[in-house]
Amino acid sequence: MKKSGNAVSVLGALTIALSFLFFSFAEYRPNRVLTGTDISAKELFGNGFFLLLFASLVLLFLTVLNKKSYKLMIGMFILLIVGLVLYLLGGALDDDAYNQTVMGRMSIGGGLWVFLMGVFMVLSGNFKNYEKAILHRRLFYLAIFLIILFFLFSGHLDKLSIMKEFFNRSQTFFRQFNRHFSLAFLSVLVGILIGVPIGLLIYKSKKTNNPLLFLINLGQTIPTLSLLGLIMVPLAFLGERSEFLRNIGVRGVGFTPAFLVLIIYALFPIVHNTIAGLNMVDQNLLEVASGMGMKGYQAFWKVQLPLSLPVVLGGIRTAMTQSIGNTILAGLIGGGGLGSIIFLGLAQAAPDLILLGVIPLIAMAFMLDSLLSFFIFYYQKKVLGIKT
Amino acid sequence: MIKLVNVSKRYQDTVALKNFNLEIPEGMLLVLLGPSGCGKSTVIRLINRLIQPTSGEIYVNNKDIRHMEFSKLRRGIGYAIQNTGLFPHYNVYENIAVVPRLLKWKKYDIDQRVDTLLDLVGLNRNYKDKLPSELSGGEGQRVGVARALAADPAILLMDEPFGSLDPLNRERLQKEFYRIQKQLKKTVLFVTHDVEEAIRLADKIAVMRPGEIVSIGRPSDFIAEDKEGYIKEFLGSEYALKLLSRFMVQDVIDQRPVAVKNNVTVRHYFRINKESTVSNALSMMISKGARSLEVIDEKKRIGLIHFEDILMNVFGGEKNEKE
Repeated sequence: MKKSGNAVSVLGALTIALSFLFFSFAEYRPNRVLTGTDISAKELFGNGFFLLLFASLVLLFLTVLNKKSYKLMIGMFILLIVGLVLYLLGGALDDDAYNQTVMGRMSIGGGLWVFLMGVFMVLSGNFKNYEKAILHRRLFYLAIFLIILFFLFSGHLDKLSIMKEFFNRSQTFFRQFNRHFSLAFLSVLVGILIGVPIGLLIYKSKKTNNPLLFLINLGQTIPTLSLLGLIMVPLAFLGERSEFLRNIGVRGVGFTPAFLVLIIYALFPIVHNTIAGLNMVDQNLLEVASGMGMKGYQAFWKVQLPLSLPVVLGGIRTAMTQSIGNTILAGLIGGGGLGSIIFLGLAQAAPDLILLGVIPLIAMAFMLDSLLSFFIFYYQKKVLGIKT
Repeated sequence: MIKLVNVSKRYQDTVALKNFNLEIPEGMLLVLLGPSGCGKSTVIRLINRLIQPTSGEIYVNNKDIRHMEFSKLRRGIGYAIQNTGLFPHYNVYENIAVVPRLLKWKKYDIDQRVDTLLDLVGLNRNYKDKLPSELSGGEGQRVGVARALAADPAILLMDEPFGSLDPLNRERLQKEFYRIQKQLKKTVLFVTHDVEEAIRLADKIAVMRPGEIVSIGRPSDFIAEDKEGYIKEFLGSEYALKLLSRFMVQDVIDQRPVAVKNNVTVRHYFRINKESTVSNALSMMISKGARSLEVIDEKKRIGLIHFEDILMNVFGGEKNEKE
């Protein structure tokens, strides 16, 4: 156990060192769509490169030693390296060599992604198998997230091409970001409101071949895009026929079909986990609850639901992550969201625009997932007394 | 009072109980003793209506339970099961408070009651905030007993409540439950497959074989069972020895001054506490090779226990029940 965690963090530290040595950290392009020239970390960071290399070797050394007392130190060290990379990157962007023309752009190179992967590996391998590991890991993820946000908002990285794309369309960006979040969040919310009662109903029926379950499974087997296509036809038809429906937003394109499809996809994990969670509760406890004089609804609310909650929440967590990803497709049918930015970037062959859609998407998924999984973890530990 | 009249319970083609009759008068602790799968637990589950009888009548406090509301019937019966059955998301206080809360007691009354019960089962009052996962097996089972007693029910149904404990803890809890029962005088139906447990706790034992009771009587009644057969086989050939654990040294103590006994001054080197069981005393006699032991009460010598007295008093019929 201990060894496997250590192997991951050593590999991560190695990845960080290698990213500095062999990968390009930036790409200079004469304009926004042309292919550019790769710039290595050594060229980009100048003398800072040696500092980073030295720091990553120290990190490697610390992870190899793998002492328990080093865990927090390794975490702090990682934060330092991330901060340093972003600081040096911002400094390099100001270099005259890269600012000769108005059209010229500096993009993030593959090396930075490799570097971030290394950071992720070190953190996940380092904070493992001890009492407060999960808490520490999450705190350090959060810290890295905040450091990145800080550099983005401080203006230090404003000359980065992706930031230029952002400034060119910041209003659109925020609107689509909000739209994306509300589509994903609301669809899961409705999914919970429908899915949990459906799960309960199927659980009560005690049948495995329940027709409701069949329908929900069917929804999941149809590919997302096909389902969008399928649902557009009847919605367009209904919208055409009834003015009232049209007024409340029933149309073949836009928000409504995207919203419906997202709900259908959210139902699958929520319903299945609800059934699994309810089934998982110790039958003896339910019998005791009943034997002590709880009525059916009391036993459900006081015993069965609280005990099945981690599994139900697990389903909601899956639905949330999945929904954030699926919402991209709303961009295809005029439903808005970050997908519309991504598809625009694809159409224009502008990688920075694609990234402007993708990176916030990943951040959103990551934050919500962490939040939910941390809540589940806390609930299991403090409320159910499960030792992890 | 619990009464079952001609109760039968069938599951498809298997018969769990046939024409089962049993009466437990108020204040009696009756142990249903039998091997696993003989239908002991079925009896308990019939009484609190977790299952319905195929035929026959069941009365609790002279009322036919078919005419009682489920929840009302059950809230008036304390229920304890194996492996505690505590709700893992409730702390000790909340677990004990389940039935009082269902009965809508006032918070002040519940607080008082929980404190009283924790004292009664020998747990520290600061255990109230602990979750079941933070308790040892013995502590958890004490909470289980406290929970069953919470709303002060007249009737207790206990389904192998100490079954999952290690022998040391089991014996300790049996002793304490015996003490609690002497104090509270509940009507108890206690189910177990452990002969020694039955001997220690029971006012009466009902020995079961699948589907029926074969014999019912006081623990000491079974010692006269000399027919070879099911009862003797189930109770075991060392039943007489096990029965000794029911009696305490103070029950057979000889309090005459030592000096005048047989006009000979005998020195006794081996001592035993007056609250030890007679089986402990016999065991000590065997291991030390002594026919008599000195009985002490908090380091003070209060008399003697003799091997002959054990034979005479315990098995001689003069003093069959300790009461």
